[in-house]
Amino acid sequence: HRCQNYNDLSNGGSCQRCIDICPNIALKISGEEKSVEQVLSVVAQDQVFYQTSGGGITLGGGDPLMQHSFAQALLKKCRESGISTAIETAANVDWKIIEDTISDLDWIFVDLKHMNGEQHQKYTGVHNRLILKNIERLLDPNVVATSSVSVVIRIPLIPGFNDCESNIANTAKFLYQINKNHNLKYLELLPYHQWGVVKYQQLGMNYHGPSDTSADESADAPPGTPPYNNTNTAEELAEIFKKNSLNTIEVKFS
Amino acid sequence: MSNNNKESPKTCPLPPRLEKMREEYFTHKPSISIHRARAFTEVAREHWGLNPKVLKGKCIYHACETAPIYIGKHELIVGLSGGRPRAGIFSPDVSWRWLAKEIDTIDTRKVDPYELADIDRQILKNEIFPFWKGRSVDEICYKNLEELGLLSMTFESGVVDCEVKTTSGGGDLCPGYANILFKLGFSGIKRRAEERLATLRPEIPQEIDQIYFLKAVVQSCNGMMLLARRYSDAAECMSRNESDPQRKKELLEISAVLKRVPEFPPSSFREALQTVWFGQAMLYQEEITAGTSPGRVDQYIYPYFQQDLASGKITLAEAEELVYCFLFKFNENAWPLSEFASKYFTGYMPYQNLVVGGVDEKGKDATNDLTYLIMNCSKNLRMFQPTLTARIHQHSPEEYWEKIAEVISAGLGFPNVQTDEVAIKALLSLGLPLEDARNYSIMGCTEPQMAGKQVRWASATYTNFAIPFEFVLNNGVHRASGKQLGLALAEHGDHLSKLDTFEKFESAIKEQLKHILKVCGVCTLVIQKVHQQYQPKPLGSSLIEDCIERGKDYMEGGARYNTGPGIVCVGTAEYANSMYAIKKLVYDEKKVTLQELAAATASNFEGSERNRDIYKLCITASKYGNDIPAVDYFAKDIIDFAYTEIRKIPGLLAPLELSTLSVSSNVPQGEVIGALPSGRKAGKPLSDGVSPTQGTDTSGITAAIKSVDGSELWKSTDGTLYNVTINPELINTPEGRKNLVALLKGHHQLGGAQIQFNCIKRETLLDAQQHPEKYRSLMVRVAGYSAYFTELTKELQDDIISRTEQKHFS
Repeated sequence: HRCQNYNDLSNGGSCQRCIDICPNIALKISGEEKSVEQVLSVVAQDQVFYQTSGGGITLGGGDPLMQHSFAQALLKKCRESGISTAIETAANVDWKIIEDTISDLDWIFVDLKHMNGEQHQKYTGVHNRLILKNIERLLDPNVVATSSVSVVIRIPLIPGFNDCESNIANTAKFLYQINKNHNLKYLELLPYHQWGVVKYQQLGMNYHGPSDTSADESADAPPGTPPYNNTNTAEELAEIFKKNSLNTIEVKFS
Repeated sequence: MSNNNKESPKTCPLPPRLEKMREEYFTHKPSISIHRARAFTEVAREHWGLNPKVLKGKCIYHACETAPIYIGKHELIVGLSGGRPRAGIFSPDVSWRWLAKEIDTIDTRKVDPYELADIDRQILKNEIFPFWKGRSVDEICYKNLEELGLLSMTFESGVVDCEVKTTSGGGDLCPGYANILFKLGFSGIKRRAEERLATLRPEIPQEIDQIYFLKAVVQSCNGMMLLARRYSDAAECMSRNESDPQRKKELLEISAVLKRVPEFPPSSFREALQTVWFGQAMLYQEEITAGTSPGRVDQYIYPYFQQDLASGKITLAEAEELVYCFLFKFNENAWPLSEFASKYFTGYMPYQNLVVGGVDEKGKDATNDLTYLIMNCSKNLRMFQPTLTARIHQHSPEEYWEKIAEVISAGLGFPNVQTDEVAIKALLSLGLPLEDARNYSIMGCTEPQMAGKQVRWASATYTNFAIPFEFVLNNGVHRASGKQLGLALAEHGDHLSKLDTFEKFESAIKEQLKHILKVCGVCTLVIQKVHQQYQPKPLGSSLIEDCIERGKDYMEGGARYNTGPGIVCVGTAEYANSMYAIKKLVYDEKKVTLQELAAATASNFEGSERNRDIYKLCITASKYGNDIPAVDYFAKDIIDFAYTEIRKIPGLLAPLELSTLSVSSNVPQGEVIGALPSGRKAGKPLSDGVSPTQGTDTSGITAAIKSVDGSELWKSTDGTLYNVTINPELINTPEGRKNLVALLKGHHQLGGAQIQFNCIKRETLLDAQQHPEKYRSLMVRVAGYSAYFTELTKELQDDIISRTEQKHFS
């Protein structure tokens, strides 16, 4: 379903009338507008479980650093309430933004999708220059000394795009070089999943990612779609990574 | 964050003996055994007119004299009431009409079928049914309820269900294995009864009844001792024909053990286990019941375990094998019921609950090596009985929390996790002293009870918190039966216009509930009196302090602590959701009038555009189970209200108690109720226990737990029930189990009373419906217990599937 009154922006881009009139309660608006205090009150509802688990809040995305002032305000409040904080980010923002955020962070999970700048540009739309620089800064001894943030690098394994031996080896070498002080907590290999398929369907869009039934769908895939051929298993990639980082970095995968 | 290997909790291989026993088990079909029925009929025919207690004693003795003996090929712990695995004994003296009605269909019926031999069918038809006509508890209860005008509310409409104690025995016992049988043996109990008898004079009116009772106790003890000796002799006899020297030796050991116990107090670990098992199996000779629970086995058997290991009498491996054999036997008991009653207790479940962990009488943590051994065996055995309860408290050790998470993640539907602080508070409120309250067991599903001292029927009546809405909206008329069962609000015209404020509406609802609870109270009294007069329980009483000292059956108040019975009220979530929807839509926002809501629910939200609109408003209103205080308030409020009202209702021996554990009664109770303002459609299952309504707790498991734990559930002194369906993928890693421990601890800190996990994937269940043959041993938590999924009805299967599967922890 697509809203006919899409230009009415007073309700975040849709008039929402369709929600009220749908006879089968099939439509819904995802997302609500909330203030920092409102979000915090929802977060604080689970306070007892943060205590028993040592857990807390993780801001995911999109990318929370695209709305950094809100994110920073919320993280600060959480910290003040004794709630552990984490963000997941692509780190493709000005270092100043990251620097101002990590002072209120316990964990930062940074995606590193590809070591090759051109490949990165081709498939994500941006070069990885800034990302690599930011990762380097995060692991800088001076930064580490002034903040308590734990850094984790994640590679979301996308078949045929970044799961080849060379990319993993290059990533390992890069991280080995900049992790001389062993401030990187661990590297995590994230397996590809198809949880997005339903979301594509809900939005009336075609899904072009690798899927179990992608054989005939890939025919109409837009240009720039990777071939999606699995080259290595996660176990193999973990071994490759360990070898090329000289076993200085812990690797996790599921 | 995930770990490098998807390590699921290791299920250790079973000892070879157990593998064989387990394999054979699944070839045994549940069946009906009629030996007890024949024995009782023979004695009753000969002695009819004798004082009912003395007659009962003679009947029990004869049943023990004639019981078929069964010793399985591989077993070390022996004894079965019906002479075959999974054979349930039939008690025509309690109720026979249901079996007469189902005589040709019981083996093919939809819910929990039982095999019945053709020859037994003939005997039942020709000898047994005719004799008991007009004499059974069921018929006598029915007559008395009819006399008081209670049939329309009970048997005819199902608004109040009271079949459990009219068609089944008393039961609901945690027998005094530790405090009586281990100290005295049946020979000692008999001696104690005889000593009391010697002081009593039949010429004294108050004493003649005691004489009758104690004679029955003596006969019951004689029966138990005789039956044990028959087992001992049979094992010896079998050993003579046994060619395998190993098995020959085992049979001689079985014979030796049963020569000693339960006649005398046990002197070894093995004898202790056999004593408890003999009780679990043979108490059925008294009457068919459910819920007989062994209680804190890890506590009262621990001294024997310790002593035999220390002295080198057994090795740890031998002890483990014995624990396996012991636990295994619980799966061979059965509790046959009518097809209708089976809807309330689906899954062949005999409700035997074994408790581990918790505090001791002094309040210190009591976990020990046997606690962990039992938990491990229970996890590895992967069978549905006994239901394992793990007691938790503020100082439970870390290792114990982790073990609980490990057993939960094995996906068996247990342990039921019970909070000591809450259960102890509940028992203190009933007047138990602190030391006994701390030493509580769990009876049946989740009912805290002091073994061997406290007697409480968990339930004599079942009703729900949803029907008052139907009564208020429909002027007291029950939609399904068309009868005026509730209070009429007005004689003529619009009964709803008076309810012009929410406060008036709410008090109208509560008046209807009070009216229903009052009916429950009367039904309970009627049924208790019938059992007291016609169905005494001398064998059960012999294992409850102070029945012998007082010379009184436990139905007459012989027990040290008499509490309850309970009134089971299901549909807490249905109440909260309906109340909140009405407050919001009718009174606060005025989007719907009460009259419109009445019309919409009357037509099941169908038939007009407006009705469908109202349905949408109802179903999209906030729901209990999402940590929304405005909704959860009504759950807490109805528990408070029901507790206060029920405690005012006198039972025969004590004030009644609130129970909010539904067993599987939320399904049949839902069948007789029309559409509700919560958005639940007519005839659909009600919410179970205090769990959120199926599929509506969409804010994650922590929010659901906070909603549930927000009520003061200690007030549900007769047990409560919160079921969480969880995807096992969440907890089959070390990280996942750590999260589960954190979740359990959070629940405990919130003052939560009880929680249990159905650890199953939705896909698995759907596939099991399509291919039952592939999933014969697949277990799910039904309500207060686990059952084999493929043995459940389609409706109950659907109900389980529809429960929200929690995909994320937050």
